[in-house]
Amino acid sequence: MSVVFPSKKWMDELLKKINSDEQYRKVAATWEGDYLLTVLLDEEALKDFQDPEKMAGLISMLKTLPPDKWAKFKGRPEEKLFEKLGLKLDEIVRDPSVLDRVDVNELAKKMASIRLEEIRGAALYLWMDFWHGEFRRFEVVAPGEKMEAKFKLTGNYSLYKQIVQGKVEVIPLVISGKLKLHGDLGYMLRNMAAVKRFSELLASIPVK
Amino acid sequence: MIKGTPFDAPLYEIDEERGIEYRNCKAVTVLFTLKRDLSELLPEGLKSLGNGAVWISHYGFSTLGEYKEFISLIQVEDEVGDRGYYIPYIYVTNDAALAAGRELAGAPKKLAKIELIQELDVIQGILERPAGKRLATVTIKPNTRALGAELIDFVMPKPTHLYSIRHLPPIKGKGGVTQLIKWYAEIDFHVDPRGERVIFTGPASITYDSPSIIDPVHKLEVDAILAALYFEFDMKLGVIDILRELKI
Repeated sequence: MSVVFPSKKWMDELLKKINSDEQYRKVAATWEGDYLLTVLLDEEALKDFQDPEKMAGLISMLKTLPPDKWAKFKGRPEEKLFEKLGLKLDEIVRDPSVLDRVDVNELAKKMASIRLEEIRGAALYLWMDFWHGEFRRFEVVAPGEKMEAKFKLTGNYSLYKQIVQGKVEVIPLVISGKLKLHGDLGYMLRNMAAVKRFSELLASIPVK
Repeated sequence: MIKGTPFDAPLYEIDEERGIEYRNCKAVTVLFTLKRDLSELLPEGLKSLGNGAVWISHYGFSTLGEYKEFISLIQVEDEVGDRGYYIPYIYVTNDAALAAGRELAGAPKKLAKIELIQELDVIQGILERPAGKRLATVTIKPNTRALGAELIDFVMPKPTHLYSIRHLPPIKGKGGVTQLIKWYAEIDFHVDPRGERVIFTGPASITYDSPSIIDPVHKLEVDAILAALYFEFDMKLGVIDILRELKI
């Protein structure tokens, strides 16, 4: 059964998929390192989130952010995005449960009037922690968090979407410069079997 | 000058300080994960990183003359932690390049038919030995500018370390030499009028069309292609050191 990308369900499914894969456990047995993914919102994201189902998926992910982290969005492009959606960051900071009561249909409609220039730089930040064949944690994080991650991958939402759909591979996107990868590239190239198996499992989850 | 033989009419002469110089070169290279461990091909002192590559180039000018080259490479790490590529198989189209490569760096060069041609929207490199026996075909559609400088410079740093075994067989137990040689390629990518390096990437394939036990380049079985590049460049080759004497 397919899951919405991006969504908390998708995150849970990926975590489950990786941790139940014997082959991954074997090829990543010595892997030690985490990834910070910066998913920059682009035109395709603005279009996708006009779909209430995808908007609900996005909100489900944001709701996992611990209450004390919301203040980190202050003054950033993400705050502008929240404002355009009619969400007051101060209110979320005071009481993140306001996100439980949002009308995703309404938010999806408002998305249609947002222009990319108004929110340029807004991103979704995801942190993945891998250790000795285990995918220990997959979390939404706030801007500026986990900057010490072993690998930092930055790119547009549409590229991440293609990766998740199995249409493209990460390394060719990094070579082309469309996706920026910072970190210990030697370590990554020494452990391509783990990276490759992760990509295969990632792409094996049917998404909508 | 380093000279080959005959001493009064050497096949190659190389300025030791400047190395072998190349101008107006074109190449395709494909980096891939290896399907199986190839440690048995490596000499002592080198550790496989699990990735392989093929390189097919045309050197428009070099101080050894114009020639084409096919190289099979295994990405390795040496004992001091330097990363580079071990060369199990290498082919050229020019006798001076063959002799200099074998005698100075130990590159196990053989002569072969090598082509690097642009046709329609693809660039294709081939290796045949003898002509007609197609050992390998590399095809790339270079449709995207490769701007990921960090990863490209990681895969082909300046200098790129190369490793090979220089072997002079003994005669009745005397005079034999078997050495692990560390050498280098310093690649200067051409820069276009807009200031961008002339490196393109795109979908690619490698096929070992007609495997041969005589020239087993197919041993570097491709698991998954990581990166495929077409680029234009100048280059300098030189020898760094004898890393160790080997017993075989």
